[in-house]
Amino acid sequence: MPGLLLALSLLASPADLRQAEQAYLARNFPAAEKAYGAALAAGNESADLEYDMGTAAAQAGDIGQAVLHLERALVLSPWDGDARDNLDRVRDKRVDKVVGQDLGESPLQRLLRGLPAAELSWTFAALWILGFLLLVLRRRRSWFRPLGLACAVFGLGLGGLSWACERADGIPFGVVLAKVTPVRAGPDPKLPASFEVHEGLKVLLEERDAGYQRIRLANGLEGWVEAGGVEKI
Amino acid sequence: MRRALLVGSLLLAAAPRALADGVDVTAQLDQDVAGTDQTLTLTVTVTIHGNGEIERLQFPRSAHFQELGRTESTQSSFSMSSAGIDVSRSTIFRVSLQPKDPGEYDLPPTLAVVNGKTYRSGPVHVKILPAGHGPPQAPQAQQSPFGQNPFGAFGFPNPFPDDGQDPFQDLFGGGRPPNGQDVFLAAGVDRHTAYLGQQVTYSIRLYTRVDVNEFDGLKLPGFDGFWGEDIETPTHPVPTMQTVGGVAYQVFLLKKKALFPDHAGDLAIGPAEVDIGAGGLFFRGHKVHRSTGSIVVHVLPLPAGAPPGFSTSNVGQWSLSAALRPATVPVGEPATLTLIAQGAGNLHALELPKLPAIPGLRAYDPTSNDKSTPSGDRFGGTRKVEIVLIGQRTGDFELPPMSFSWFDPAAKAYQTQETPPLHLLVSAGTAAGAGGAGGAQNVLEASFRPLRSAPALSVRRLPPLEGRPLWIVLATPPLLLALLFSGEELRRRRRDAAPELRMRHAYRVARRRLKAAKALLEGPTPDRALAELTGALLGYLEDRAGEKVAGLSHTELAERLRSLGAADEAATAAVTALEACEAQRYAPRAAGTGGGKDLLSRVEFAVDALERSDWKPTRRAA
Repeated sequence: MPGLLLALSLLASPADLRQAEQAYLARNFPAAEKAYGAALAAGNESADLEYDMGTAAAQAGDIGQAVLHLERALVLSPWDGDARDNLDRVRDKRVDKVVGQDLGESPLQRLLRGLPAAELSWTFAALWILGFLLLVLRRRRSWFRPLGLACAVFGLGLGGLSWACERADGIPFGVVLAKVTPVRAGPDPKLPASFEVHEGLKVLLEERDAGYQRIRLANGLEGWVEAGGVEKI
Repeated sequence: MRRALLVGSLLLAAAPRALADGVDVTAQLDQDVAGTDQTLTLTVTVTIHGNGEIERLQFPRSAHFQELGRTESTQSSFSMSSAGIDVSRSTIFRVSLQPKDPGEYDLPPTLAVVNGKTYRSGPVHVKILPAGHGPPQAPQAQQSPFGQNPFGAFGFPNPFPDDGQDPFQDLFGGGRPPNGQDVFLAAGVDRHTAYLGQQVTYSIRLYTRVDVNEFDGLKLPGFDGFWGEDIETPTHPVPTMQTVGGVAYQVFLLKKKALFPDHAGDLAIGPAEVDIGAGGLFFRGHKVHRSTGSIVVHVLPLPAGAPPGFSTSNVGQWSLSAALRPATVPVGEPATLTLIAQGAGNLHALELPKLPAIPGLRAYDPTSNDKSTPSGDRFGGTRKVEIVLIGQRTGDFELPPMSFSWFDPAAKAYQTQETPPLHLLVSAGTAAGAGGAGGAQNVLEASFRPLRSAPALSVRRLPPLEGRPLWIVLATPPLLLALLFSGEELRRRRRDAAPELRMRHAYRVARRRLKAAKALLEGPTPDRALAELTGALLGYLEDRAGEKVAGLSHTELAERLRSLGAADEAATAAVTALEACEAQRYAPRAAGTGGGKDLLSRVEFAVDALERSDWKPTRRAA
């Protein structure tokens, strides 16, 4: 295991990323995808790395991995126009055409996921504390009192917005990675398949049981698939 | 699906040979001596010269023979002679008979009624020996339905060419039909050993020696482990004649499929089933259910040595051709690369080579069209793949050779074919949207956004404020502010209540201070007792009055005490005591007082007197 970790850490070096980029430019997309995947498997996390991985997978025709990593890039950098554009192109190549809007793509959800929830939460804390400090010191200056109230109220509003962003980010979305996988009525391979889904489809992850994952599609269809066939974004 | 099979019922008649009015009736057995374990074939020929129809036919009836089945065929002849034109039609009946008992018998004549007249054949003599004592019979070429090619007469190849192996050997037990069954269903394959992906032809046939009115509900097995393609499903089955174990059967082909095994090992094909409505001698108005046995096909893996890029689904005999039309196009205009694979094998699973990416040429997703054209029992056809190419810039583009490999089971070898290199000349033409003729053109098409060069391996993300820290931040400021407000309120209330408290506790405080002064007088520092006595008196007065009295003259003080309700005597005593204290302090020798104890007594008297007064409530205390 230590040897593997060492190997992975070596794969994740900037030099290896340059090799991955060279492979991509030489149109050896599978090799590029593999190299970027190794960098991510080593524990690195950045929007750029996810974007490069998703783009290389898209060029290699690996639609499931492409959607997964471009979605992750958008989680880390919600306003990344390149990732959004490439993701739209990959979605056009998917087999499954779900009637209705894609999951997590309503204007409100996109706005909430685009806001910096962590920064908002800390700004809320600062304004909240400052507001009450000004209220304590209200006798020193006449304008301390209204300013303190304004800070506290505004901070509370930012706190609510941060909470909503966290809720939006916390929705467990996943992507189908298997080329095609049957969706059954329950977590049992003996049950008949209700329908099937293909790689690259974004789904909502619900409970998990006996190696099976319950999923819901954007149009409300539900069922159980083998847990290895989907991965959380 | 319900199909009706109309098989004409025949009426029995008999006669070996007769000639009457242009009708000949003959009857003969294939052998004069036979055992009870052998079958005999009685051939009855009715020849009608000129016009006429057989109105009735009666075969010989004998309790010593069991009829197993019969067939009928017709031949016509046309001849010219000096006597004129002779048109004749012969109807030949072959009746299979099973002897029951040993002995010598004469079969009665066969009777035929033609145009209202009765004709008969002569009797037939036969000797029947016990079982095992009959003369050896010549091998019957058609004892097994597949013992020889039943389709040879029609010019079709033998569908079961696998080393002459009889697929029904197991079913019929050496060529004999299932005991006592006049209708049975048989399934067979043309080979029991095949390579992965090699075609195995599976057929289901209905064998009957009775009239079959209908059959329906043919249930095929699941063919697990095979990719199946239909070759033949007759909508109006035409019977052929087969002799199985010496018994003639009408045979109907119900289904023929091409099966392509998709993995190696022993693959079992389950039984097929059908319901048959049978009529005639044995099954009048009955429905019977028939099923086949199971078949096992041994599937061999493909041999080693597959060429690079070989797909295991490419098995059979194939050829590949490639064409590019047109060979010259303007920038932005399409050309079509067409790949055509032709041959025998699993057409729908075929995998053709992919065109590699060519910089400057945009290749759209290929479209594929399969056309299956089975040849005899061999499944196959043509796959046509078209790829639209659009030149994005001018130049001469070479489409490299594409290599296509397959395994040929007949040759037991891998075959590879390469397409020739093709050239597409993209010129600066008049493509739609181009700026005009002449000059190089470059079509810029949207594609994936490029990579991020030297991406950051990791980015530190600010953790959100959540959980317990969030609740602490949320709750602490309001709590602290509430505590602050509470403290202020408490202090305000205590401040407002101070004068009344002091008034209420004035006497007690004064008495405590007087006690302290007494202690000082009796102690080593009696001079300090004067200050305590003065403080006790003034303190009491201020607490009682609720205001400062130190600045008032003695007269003003006495007036103020009276106005507050103090008795005259008490006010006077207070002023007197205060004057004595001051005198003792500033002129102790001239004071004329009795010393400290006297002062203590005066002050105690004044305080007691004041305490007994009926004090009016002051404004602040109220």
